[in-house]
Amino acid sequence: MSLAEPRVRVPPGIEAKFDAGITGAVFSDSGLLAAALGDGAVQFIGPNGNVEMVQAHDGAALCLALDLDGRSFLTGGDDGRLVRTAADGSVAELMRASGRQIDVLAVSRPAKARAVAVGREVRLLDADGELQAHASDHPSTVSGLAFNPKGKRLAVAHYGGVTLWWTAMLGRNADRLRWRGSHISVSWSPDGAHVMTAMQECELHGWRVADSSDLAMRGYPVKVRSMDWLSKPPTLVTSGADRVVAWPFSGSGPQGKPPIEFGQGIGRLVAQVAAHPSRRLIATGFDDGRVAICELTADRKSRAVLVRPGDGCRVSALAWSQNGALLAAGTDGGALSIFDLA
Amino acid sequence: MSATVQAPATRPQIPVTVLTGYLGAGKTTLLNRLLTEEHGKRYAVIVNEFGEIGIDNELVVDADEEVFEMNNGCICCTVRGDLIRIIGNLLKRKGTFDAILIETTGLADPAPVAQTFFVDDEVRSVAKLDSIVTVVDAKNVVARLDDSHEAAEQIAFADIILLNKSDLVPAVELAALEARLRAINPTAIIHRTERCGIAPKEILNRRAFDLDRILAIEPDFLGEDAHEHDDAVTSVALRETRPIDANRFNQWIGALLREKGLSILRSKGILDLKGSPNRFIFQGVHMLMEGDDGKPWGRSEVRDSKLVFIGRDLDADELKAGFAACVA
Repeated sequence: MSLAEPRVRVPPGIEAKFDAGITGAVFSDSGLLAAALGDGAVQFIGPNGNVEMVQAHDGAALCLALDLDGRSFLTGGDDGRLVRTAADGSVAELMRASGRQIDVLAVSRPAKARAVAVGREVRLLDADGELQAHASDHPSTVSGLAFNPKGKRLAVAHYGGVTLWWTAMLGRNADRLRWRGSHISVSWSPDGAHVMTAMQECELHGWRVADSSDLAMRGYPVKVRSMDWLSKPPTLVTSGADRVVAWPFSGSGPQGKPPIEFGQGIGRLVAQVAAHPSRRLIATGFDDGRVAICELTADRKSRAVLVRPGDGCRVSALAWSQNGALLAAGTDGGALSIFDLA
Repeated sequence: MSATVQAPATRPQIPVTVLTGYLGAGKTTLLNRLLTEEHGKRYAVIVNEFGEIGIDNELVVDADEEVFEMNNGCICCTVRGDLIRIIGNLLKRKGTFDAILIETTGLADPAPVAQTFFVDDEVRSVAKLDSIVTVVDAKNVVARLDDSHEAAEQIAFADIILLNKSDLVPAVELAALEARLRAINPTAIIHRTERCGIAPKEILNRRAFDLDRILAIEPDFLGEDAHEHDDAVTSVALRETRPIDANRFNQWIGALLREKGLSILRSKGILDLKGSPNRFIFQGVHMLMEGDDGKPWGRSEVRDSKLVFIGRDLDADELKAGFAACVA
């Protein structure tokens, strides 16, 4: 496939370059960006472009989430630690499991709970960082964690499907959603009706929670490493192809309907997707460094604008600020861009 | 792509060495030796029994040997999903690795580890199976071969066998033991060691040497020797001096591995394909196979093709006839 370089329109913003790849990015409530890095650092980038660094891990920071207070951040690392950092430079170790890679983490602000996986075990930490509950009854290492929107339920992905726990009763009564194979991540639809997983076999699997009925979406050329949701109506947007593949969950669900495809002809493979918090815009990061913002219109049409040219590095993190005015994009080459779209 | 776009930075594939062997054979001793003797190298180590490693290495990762079956229509395609995840995470670290070492538990079947490096595109793009090293206890291996499936499979899968604790066994017995191991696996390099004393360069980064090793097989060595012991796992080596037709070979090997891949543990070969200036090198694990162009043939070199199958219930005559029909 030959690609004509589409015209790049780079919005105003901030550019930074770090020594290690970006493994995650998320904005605080007030618009401070935290980026997790492959050298264990958490970099804080303020609205004026001022950068503060906190050394959170000895190895790589593997996962990142905004913490319960909306202004500090949790990272898991391949040093086996779960760490809480803040822009003032404070670092607190919440957990340590030597020899383990802490790569799966979920935070629910409604439930005031943080969930972290250590091998097959899921631990629930309360707002004070105390171990509230734990569950080890999973058939393999936990590969994904997702709270439902209200935080009352926790979905845990592993071999053979997903285990659903009631957050308040973690470790006691499990509901099992079964499907053969290795499930590598899990996501809950914004209306709480569906649980979706990405699978080793380059496909998606899912269940309607009410009756455990199955859904399957196939045909991806590579593994789906990134998925996100537009709400109202819920639409699942996914990486894993040379375009964004979106599945509308309105009405009777996505079964038997073709997906909406957009963003084709821009880059090689979509590596990251991030849905705008309120508008039907999808930030789309490609494996060649290109970033486009695609707008999904009601008539299944779309428009795209390229905001970052390709530089040969894979886009490894995308994040919208909570008001949707800022978009951050990081690459595995250590480049970080914050675009001001207001 | 337009000229202004840089090509994605391609990293060389990291060589992966897999250590197998029964509990007590000396795997951990070997691992500790490799980690202490190779200064200045950066290794990631994936182990099953964390804490046994005597070296303080920040890059030791604990794995649970989690095998699952791929839904790809291939009935024996089991894969280590934990390795896929761990290797993906290791690659997020700053800098690269000189090698990845994977230690498996005593009873582990090596196939899922090997198959992981065939099946997963993400892993394949960053790492390459370099060799499978099997440590055997010279004193106990005969008993293990007699009473278990796994011992023979670990021998069958090996590229390198360490006949460890060789000081505890008389020389005559050692020779007989080697002959028995050879009957199972004629292509492996066998080192006799005491307390796993061996130079790291004999173990790590061996790929090129292994391929030469296939060439060095004496095709007639199998003879009657192979059936002296009643080992369930045996090998068949084939040689052909006439050039091979690529299409016929592909069809034959494809159908063979599809039908018999459960019982064929490993297949390896170097082929003289008609019309190609290069050696064609391939290797397979059960039903999975990969091949690539190797070194060009020298001008005065005698070209031939060699194939080795290691497995259970191999029908040597059928394999011979099948291969002979691939002649161009």
